[in-house]
Amino acid sequence: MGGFLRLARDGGGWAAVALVLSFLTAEMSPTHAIPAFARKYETSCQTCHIAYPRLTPFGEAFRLNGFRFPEGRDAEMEKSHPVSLGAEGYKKMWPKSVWPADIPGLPPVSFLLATEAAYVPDSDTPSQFTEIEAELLAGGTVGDNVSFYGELEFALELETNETETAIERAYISFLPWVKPVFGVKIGQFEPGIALVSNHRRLTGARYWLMRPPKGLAGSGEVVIDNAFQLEAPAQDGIEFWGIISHRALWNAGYVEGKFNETNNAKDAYGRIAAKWGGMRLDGTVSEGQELDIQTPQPWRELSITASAFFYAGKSSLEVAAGPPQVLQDDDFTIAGVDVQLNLNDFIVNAGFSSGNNDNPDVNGTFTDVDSVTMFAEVDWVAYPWLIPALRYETFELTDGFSDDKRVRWVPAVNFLIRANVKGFVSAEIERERQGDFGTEEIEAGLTIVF
Amino acid sequence: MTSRFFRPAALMLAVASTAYAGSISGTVKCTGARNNADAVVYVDAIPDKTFPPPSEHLKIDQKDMVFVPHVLPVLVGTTVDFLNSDNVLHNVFTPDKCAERFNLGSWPQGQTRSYTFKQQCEATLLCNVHPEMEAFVIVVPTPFFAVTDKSGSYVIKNVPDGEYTVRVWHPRLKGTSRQVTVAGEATAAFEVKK
Repeated sequence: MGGFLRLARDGGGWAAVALVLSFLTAEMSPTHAIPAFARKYETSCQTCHIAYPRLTPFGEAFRLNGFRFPEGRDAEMEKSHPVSLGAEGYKKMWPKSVWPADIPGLPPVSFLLATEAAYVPDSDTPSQFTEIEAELLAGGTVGDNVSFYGELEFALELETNETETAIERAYISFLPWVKPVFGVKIGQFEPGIALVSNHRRLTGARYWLMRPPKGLAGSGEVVIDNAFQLEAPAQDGIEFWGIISHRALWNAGYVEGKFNETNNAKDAYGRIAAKWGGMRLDGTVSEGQELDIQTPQPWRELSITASAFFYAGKSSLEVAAGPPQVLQDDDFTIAGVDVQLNLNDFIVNAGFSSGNNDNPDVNGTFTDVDSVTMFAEVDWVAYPWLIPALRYETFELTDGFSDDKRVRWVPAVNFLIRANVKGFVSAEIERERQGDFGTEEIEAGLTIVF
Repeated sequence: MTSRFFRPAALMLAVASTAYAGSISGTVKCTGARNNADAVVYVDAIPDKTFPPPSEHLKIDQKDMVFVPHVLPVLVGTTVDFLNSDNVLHNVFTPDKCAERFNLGSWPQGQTRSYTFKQQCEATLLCNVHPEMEAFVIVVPTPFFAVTDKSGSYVIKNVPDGEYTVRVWHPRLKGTSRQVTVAGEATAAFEVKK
């Protein structure tokens, strides 16, 4: 096994970190990494992550293989001993026996603590003490085919002393074969429609691709009351996915539609993606080759990945006038493409989506509304512990709403104090409509996962 | 690589024919397994050659809730004694037709029950009291076999000169085979994977 995998190990070991004082913030930076996997394989976070939660090419392959090493080599790499729930021989007894499996030998849970500071210039109280967030993360495998992931968030808002508990994501997935040509995921998850992910971003602000603004008419009236978001933070439903010929990925999902649980209609989406160069999407290697994760730079490769998606849904909106709970339906569609270029220490993501809302305005003023979202982002791994990022994104309504275009710059710097301790600073500099650019918010935060 | 279970069979072979001085050695790489142990390397059937089974029984123990050894290759016709060394009831059965799907029942500590493996077979042994317990008896047609250690090394001793088909079996990975010519010492490396 010595030549199989050269692991990037954290020479500093685990460090104790004290929580720092922080300030109120609108969007907590995502910090979703699973140290349970680090324990399972006795490997550093950096094997799969660039400044968690962003994934290296191998980390993506690990995720797409149902949180397993590719090519059925998970048992070879696992350092902990799973607990058998039944010997393999019972497969021969089925259906006269329960199909055998095993569960993680170590508890597959991790903990996350996060605090942030925010400066909001236009607020009456620009700097405030924060919401402290703690998360319980669970991820692992059961036998050869079943995987699971869960994320339970606890937040305390210091200003009001209110607590909030939420399940961010929780799903079970099933891959019937060693090769991930077909998988199914059931539960609450982020739809696999784009190469970027709000759960794996390196900036404070989420992508407008996933959470478009509502859009304003010339009068300043909100045009799109549809609170629907592609990922807010996750959808409930079922998704199928698979990797074909090592480098093509497909996803298809049937979900409830976030914030639209009041209607019986379901949303559906599909996506195809393909990768050229670099590590294969499924993490496999050609015959006779050994998997080589470049250490200590496991993110480095030259590749291009392109993706296209389509999403169709129905939102139910509360009509402003009349008795409460009267709903109008807004049929909407979104189609988009995005691309990722891995240029060794630079990772470039860019995307475009076009949407149409049939009946998005509860006052009935605006119908058949088109919108366009575009973004481009560069993440630069200046050093393994220092990753600046810069995103440019726009959102605008078209066809008669030409004076409403939002433009936003999102600069950020991520720095790893240790492999599992991360700090970041991020800002949102936005121009709404024809106005000047203004700083909406500056965030700074610190997280630890263990 | 010999264990106390293999010694009686090896001794028998040495007494039976002093002309068997060759050996086959090498390694088995078990790609996808935790380590390279438990692969059985054996010489397949030799045309016009039969080998009498050993009169001494081989043994598999059930101790500390595991079968010991985990993998036991035996010559066709060998009788295996199953001992229970734990202070709980254990059972031994197999779902495999080639071993008549035998079920020896359950018995307490200190007792032994036996079964004779009459035909070539890859028999999975299970305990219906403890579903996580598992072992394998690999019934092979010749007395020339070995089990790899964690490093994947094996040595099959007392093999007469000649050309043979050598097969590799593994509990979790796909088997393989190749032709090996023995002229004194022979080496053969294998890789098994999913």
